[in-house]
Amino acid sequence: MSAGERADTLPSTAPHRPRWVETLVLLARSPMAVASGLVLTAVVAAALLAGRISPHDPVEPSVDDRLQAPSGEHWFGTDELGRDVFSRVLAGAEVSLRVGAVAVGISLAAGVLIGLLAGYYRRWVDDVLMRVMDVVFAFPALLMAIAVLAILGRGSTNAMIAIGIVYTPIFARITRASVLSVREEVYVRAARSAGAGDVRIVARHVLPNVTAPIIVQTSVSLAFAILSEAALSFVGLGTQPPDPSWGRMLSEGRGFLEQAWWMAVFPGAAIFLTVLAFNVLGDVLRDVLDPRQRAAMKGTAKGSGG
Amino acid sequence: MSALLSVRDLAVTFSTPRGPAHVVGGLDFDVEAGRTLAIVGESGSGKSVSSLALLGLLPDAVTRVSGSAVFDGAELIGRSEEQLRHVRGAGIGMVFQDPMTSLNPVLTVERQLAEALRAHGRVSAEAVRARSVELLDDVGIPDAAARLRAYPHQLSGGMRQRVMIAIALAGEPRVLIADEATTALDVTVQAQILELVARLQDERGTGVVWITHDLGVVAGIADHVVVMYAGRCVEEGPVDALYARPSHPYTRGLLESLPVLDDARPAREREALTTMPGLPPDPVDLPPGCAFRPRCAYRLDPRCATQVPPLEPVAGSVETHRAATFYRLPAAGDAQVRR
Amino acid sequence: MNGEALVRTTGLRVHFPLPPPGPLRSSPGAVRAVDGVDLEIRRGETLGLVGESGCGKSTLGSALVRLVEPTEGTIEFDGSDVTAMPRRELRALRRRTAMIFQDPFASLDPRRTVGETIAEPLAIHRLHRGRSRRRARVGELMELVGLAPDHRNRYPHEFSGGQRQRVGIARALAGEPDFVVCDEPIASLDVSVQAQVVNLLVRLQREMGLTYLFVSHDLAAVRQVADRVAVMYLGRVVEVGDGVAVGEMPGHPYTEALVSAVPVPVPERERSRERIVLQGDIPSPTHPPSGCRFRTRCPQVFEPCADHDPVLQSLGGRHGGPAEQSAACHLHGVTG
Repeated sequence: MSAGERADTLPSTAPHRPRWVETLVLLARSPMAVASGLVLTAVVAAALLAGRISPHDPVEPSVDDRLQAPSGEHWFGTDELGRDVFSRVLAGAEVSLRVGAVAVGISLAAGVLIGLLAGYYRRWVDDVLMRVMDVVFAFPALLMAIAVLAILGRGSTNAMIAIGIVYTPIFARITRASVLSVREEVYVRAARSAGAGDVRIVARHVLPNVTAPIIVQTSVSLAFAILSEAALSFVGLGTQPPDPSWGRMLSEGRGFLEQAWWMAVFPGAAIFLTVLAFNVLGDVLRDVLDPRQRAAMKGTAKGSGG
Repeated sequence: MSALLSVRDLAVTFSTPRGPAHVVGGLDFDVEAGRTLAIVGESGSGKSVSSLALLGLLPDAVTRVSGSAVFDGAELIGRSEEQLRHVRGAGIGMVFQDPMTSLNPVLTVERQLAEALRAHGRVSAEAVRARSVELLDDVGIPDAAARLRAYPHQLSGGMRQRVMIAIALAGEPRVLIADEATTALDVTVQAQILELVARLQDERGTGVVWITHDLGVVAGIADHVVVMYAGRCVEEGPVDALYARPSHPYTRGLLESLPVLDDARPAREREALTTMPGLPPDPVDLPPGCAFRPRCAYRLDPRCATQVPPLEPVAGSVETHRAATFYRLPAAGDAQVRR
Repeated sequence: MNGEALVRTTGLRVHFPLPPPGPLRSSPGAVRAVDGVDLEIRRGETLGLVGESGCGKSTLGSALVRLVEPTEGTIEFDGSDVTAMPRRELRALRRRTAMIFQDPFASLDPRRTVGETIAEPLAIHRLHRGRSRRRARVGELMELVGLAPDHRNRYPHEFSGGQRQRVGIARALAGEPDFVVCDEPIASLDVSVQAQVVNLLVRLQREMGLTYLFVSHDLAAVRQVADRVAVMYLGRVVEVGDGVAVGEMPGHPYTEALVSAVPVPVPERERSRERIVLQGDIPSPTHPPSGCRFRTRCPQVFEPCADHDPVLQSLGGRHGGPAEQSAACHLHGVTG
């Protein structure tokens, strides 16, 4: 080989890291992302450790302690049955997160699959699947969930399914839109010209290149799912008594707002913080996963880091 | 003849997250009425940035421009946006590479031409329309009156570029800057556009700055050539002298690496093309000394590594032919490029 | 070189249907990207395919590697008709054909390392099985195209345009194909890098005995690499033949205009050349003109052009040479 034809050596860039590590590093540089990360870690820890760290039993009534204001003994006060609000908020974290995660898991799996099929195969597959999604999407979300619960019956498991169904079209649409653009990419043509089949193309080339908007949507949807669960429980269709859920607690606390503000304010604050954290995280992820923004952010990192 | 536009020691620095990028440095050139100056370079050579800098079309926040550019007796560098707006169009017109993205897709040709005409003082609707038809006629668009109502997507690439030229001419500029104006076009359409520009130049005495990477186009239209590499002029001169005796190793490398159309040998009997190894340097991290040194086959002089070579007259060529290299060509006979 | 045909098309048409008529369009129609092409590509040769944007040259290239479905006509590969091939056989065919794409930034999956990209055809066709053997093969391929094998774990964005194009070339060669469609392989590269890639492609062909279809709008580059040249205009091949003959003594007025429009980097010659400047634009490929498609812009148009659709006819080594050349033009006798 002649020397002139030899490709030039690569400029010595920083040792390369897997993408996800880089993503974490970039997230760690954003104060907003760190703050929401801390909030969410605290919520997850509360959910996991609720049984062990709660100072009182969250379910057992204690008539003597009814409607006590926040104190050293009961940090968030007690409710009308004398149960410790702090312990119930901790236990509620578990319910809210579980319902949120499972519901979003359902819509993620179903929506991404539907979006992939519709976007990749186009034609009648696309028409049929997306029209169904349009129908689901056309109903107001909460009304739809209530309708589903009316069919399946009340309870937190059914609430998860209902919320999952309601948010499926969002994932389907986002996935389909990305798949439509990725399937036209030259590298997909290149893979096809090499003999790659549909399964390979979807799994190796399409799916990895549509993950960014899906990840962002997941984060935002978790927030909505938690809100929906709260709303469903608020109207009595979700989590059933005596199990604590933030939405239920809010609903129960409503009747006592004047005597015992703490019954509604603390679960309300928990919902607010968690939803806010997921939304903020979604926003930061949107920036971090956008290739153009990403390049700029990495540049900053190099500049400041030397 | 005195120059319409005279640029001296132009330097452009972008501040990037990784540090200052020196995209143009120490650039001098003159544009004369009725003449064509070609600025040749590859992507990242600074050829486009330099003209954008003159017209204040670079984002202020991240750009530092220094040096001098005198147009019509007035300094352009450091002038306010307001003052530069009068210069753009009326004094200096510009045509860009991609006629699709430089035209607004939701406005008709007429609206876009009218906008340019109004910006330069024509107000009555009839006058604007009459002048628009005249301009489209001038740039060789058939059935001009009907084309006024067309949207950009209804026109072919060549037609769009003609419309762009018409818009650039609306203010009757004395200098026309064409930045890779025919790069996106097919060769037969390019031939039409080159012919058009030559004709307009003859008729109006416009000074033309033709920015391109295409040495073939330059050979046909340029009077004077500036070759840029890594933000600097590495060689300049009258077109015949420069092509006859390319004296900077980069210019030689570029000319030698081109496949030749009129070589009567079949492909299998031809030699491999001459290549230059490597890539242009990163403007944030320019090598010390001559920026071309890492790719240069003639880097024998110890100064190559430490000093930026100054532009100096090429021995044995015309006086205005200068090259920025410490390498000295052997006697004239050997200096001929293969072809 | 005058060997048998490896690829042959007969009456090949690729039409892209337009959306059905609606309030804005009265008649349905189709973009006739490739509209009746008979062409053969011989084993071991480089056939250059030139033409301007929209002439159908890239679509023809894509059809030959079965990336787009032919609407009509047949494609034969190595003697067998591949137009109506069942899926399983098509897969085997795809090991023997490959494509190099124009844009080296778009043609590599940004999420996969260059090693993974180059190894993909190996995985698809189950070649060089086993981790270490496949790794060795990828290293070999990278060496072959002038890349350092230890860059295999890097991502495309870390490479320059020329290097990415080398990755694309390595991927194309991974399955040891017989036939490679090079679709504008240098059009997106900087001038100083183009020559490197041209030389690489030529060297690889000679070393590996590959057959190329070299699709390009750059006639000078095509002359540098192609043994024979075919010229396309509006979905048709209007001239085909020996590279020197087509380049030096064009037999079709369009080829002549094309040759004369290519700028030559020699000032005195460039200024004094007689340039045939075509008037007007390429007609729409949805409604090509009757008769000869070039007649609306042809400087030498005469009576039969509007009524008769010319077919390729041999010019039989004009000027005494043995060179093979045919053109579809009534100037050489009215046909069609």
